[in-house]
Amino acid sequence: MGCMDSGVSRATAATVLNSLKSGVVPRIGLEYITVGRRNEIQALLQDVSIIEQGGAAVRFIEGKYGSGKTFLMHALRNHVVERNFVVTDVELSVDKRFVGNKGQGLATYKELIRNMATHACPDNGALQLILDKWIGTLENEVVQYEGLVPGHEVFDVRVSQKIYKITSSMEERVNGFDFGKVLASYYKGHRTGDMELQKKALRWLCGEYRTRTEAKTDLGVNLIISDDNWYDFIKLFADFVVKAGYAGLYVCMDELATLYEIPSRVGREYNYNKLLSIYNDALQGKASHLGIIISVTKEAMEDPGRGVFSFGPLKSRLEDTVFAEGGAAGLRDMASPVIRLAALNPGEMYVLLEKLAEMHGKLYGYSPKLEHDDYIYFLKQQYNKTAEGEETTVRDMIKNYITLLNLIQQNQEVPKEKILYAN
Amino acid sequence: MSEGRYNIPRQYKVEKGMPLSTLFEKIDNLKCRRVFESEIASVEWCYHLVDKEGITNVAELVRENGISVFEVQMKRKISTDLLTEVFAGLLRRPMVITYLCDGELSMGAFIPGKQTGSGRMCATDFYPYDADRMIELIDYAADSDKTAEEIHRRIFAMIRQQRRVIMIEKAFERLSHEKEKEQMSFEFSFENLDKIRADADFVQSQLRVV
Repeated sequence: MGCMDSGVSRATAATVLNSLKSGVVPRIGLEYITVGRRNEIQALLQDVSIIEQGGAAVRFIEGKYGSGKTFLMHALRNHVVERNFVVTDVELSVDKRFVGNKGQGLATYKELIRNMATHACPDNGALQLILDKWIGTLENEVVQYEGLVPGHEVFDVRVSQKIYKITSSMEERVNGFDFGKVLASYYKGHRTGDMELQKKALRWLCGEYRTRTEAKTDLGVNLIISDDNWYDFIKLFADFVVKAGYAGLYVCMDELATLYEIPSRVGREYNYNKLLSIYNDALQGKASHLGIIISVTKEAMEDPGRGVFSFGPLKSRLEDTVFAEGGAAGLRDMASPVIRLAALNPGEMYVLLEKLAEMHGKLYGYSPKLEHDDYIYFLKQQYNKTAEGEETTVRDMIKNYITLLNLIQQNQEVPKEKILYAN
Repeated sequence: MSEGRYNIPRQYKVEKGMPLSTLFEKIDNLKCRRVFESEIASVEWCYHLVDKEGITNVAELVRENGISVFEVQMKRKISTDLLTEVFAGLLRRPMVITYLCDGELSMGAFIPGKQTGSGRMCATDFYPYDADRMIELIDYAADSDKTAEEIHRRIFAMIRQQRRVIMIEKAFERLSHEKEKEQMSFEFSFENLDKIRADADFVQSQLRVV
C-alpha cells in the first residue's frame, strides 16, 4: 500500500524538492513529508494550545546535525503562522547570542524583530503590518460598535481612548510604560499623518536607538532597548500581538550550539544565565502567549565542560529524571522540556522516500516506478555506508535519493535498475 | 645472524620459503591436498627459537631443537584447525604458525607429543590485526630466563585463550547481525510501513490548518 494522495501542489513540490536537494530545510510544504515524529509534534502542538490560552512554553529540540531539528522547527513555525500566531526566528551565531560585550544580545533581538512574520506577511518584516492591523482593528471597532466614521470629530478621540487603554494596560509589565508610550507615538503619527514620528517609533521598537538622549528627544521615553533588557521586550511583544488580534508570539531559535562554542567560560555562563531567565519566566508564568523553541545538538546540551549542562541551574531543570533516563520500558516523556530527536528508523525513511517519490512524480508529471525492493535496496546501501564508518545523515540520504529520482526521471528509457544498482 | 628482538639472542631469523609442491605431495588425503594447493599462496619459515646461543649458520640452526615460527599466506580463508593439523602432520616439530589472509590473521601452535602422531594443537579463527591482541613470540619480561619449551607453552596457552575470546566475539557478532536482520525485516514489513504511513497522515492532518 502506498501513501494516500497528499494533495501537494506542483509549486510546493518544486520548493520542497529543490530545498532538500540543496541540503536545506524547505520553508513550505513540510507537513507533506513529516514522517516518524508523531509524538514530538503532538507535544509541541500541546504547547501551542497552552500558548493560545495565555500560557508560555520553552522547548529544546536536541539531536545530531542533520537529524531534523530545523525541519521540526520550521514545520511548527508554518503551522502556528496558520493559526494566527506572529512567528519569528533567529539563527544564533558568533554575532547573535543572548548576551555579549559587543551587543550580540541586541543583535539577536533586532533579528527577531526583523524576521517577524504573520499569515498575511509570511516571510518577514511584519512589524509595521502588525501595528497597522492593530490600529485598523480598533478603528473598525469604533466604526462597527459606536457608529462613528473616520473624520467625525469624536472618532479620533474614541480610537485614541482605546489605544491608550491598551498601552496603559501594559505599563505594569517590566519596561511596559515606555513600550506603551512608543506604541502611542506610533498611533499619534498615524493619526496626524506624521510619518517621521511613525518611523521613529518603529526604529525604537526595532532596537535601533543607541542613546537614551536621542530616544528622549524623539519620542519622550527614557529607555532604549539594549543587551540587558531585550528579552523583556520580546515578552511585551508577545502580550501586545495578542491585543493586536493575534494568537501569540512563537519564537524559533536555531543553533544553540553557538553558546557551547564561546571560548570563555564567563561568556558562556552569562549566556546560560540569560537562557535560565528565559526558561524560568516561561515556567513561572512571567511570560504569556509566548512560545520559544530552541534547537541544540546533544554535545552542546550535555557536555559537562562547556554545554548547557555545565551550568548547574539549567542542568537540574533540563536533565532527564531517573525514570526517563533509563528509558523506562522504552518510553519517552514528551512533557520534558527537552525533546530528543532520535534518528528516523529504516521504516520511517522508507515512507519518507515514498512521499518524496510521489512529490517528484507530481512535479514532473510522471510515475516513478520504484518498488518495495528498490526502496529497501537504496536504504540498505545508505546504511551500509554508515556501517563502514562514513557519517551519513538523513540530509545526505535525501540528497542522494533526489539525485536518483532526477536520474530516473531524466532517463526514462534506461531501466531504473541500471541507475539504482549502478553504485 | 642473530636477529633477536628485545636483545634475546635465542630467536634467529630463518626466512626460508617452503617449496610448496614438495611439501603438499606429502599430504595423504587427496581432497585435502587439493585444498592446500589451491588456497595457500606461500609458506615461509621465518624464525627459529632455540636454547643454544651463538649459532652462526642456518644448517646448524635448523638441526637444533626449538620452536619454528612459520608464516602462511592464504588466498582464501579456510579452517585454521585443518591447516594446523595438516602442517603438524607434515612438519612434526614444535611450531607456531601465523596465517594471513585479506588483512586478517590467525595463529596456531603445535606441541608434538612423545609418540609419533600425538601432540597438542590449537588455532584461533581469523581476526583483524589489533595491537591489543598481539601475541609476542618472545616477551622480554616474561621469557628472559625461560627455555624454548617453556616459551612455547606460554604462546600455546595464549593462543588457546585468544581462540576462546575470538570465538565469543564472532558468535556475538553473528548474533548482532542476526538481530539486525530481524530488525530490518520488521522495519520493512508491510504492517510496520502501514503504521508509519498512518502516523504520517495523522501528523499531516494535525499540521494542516483548515
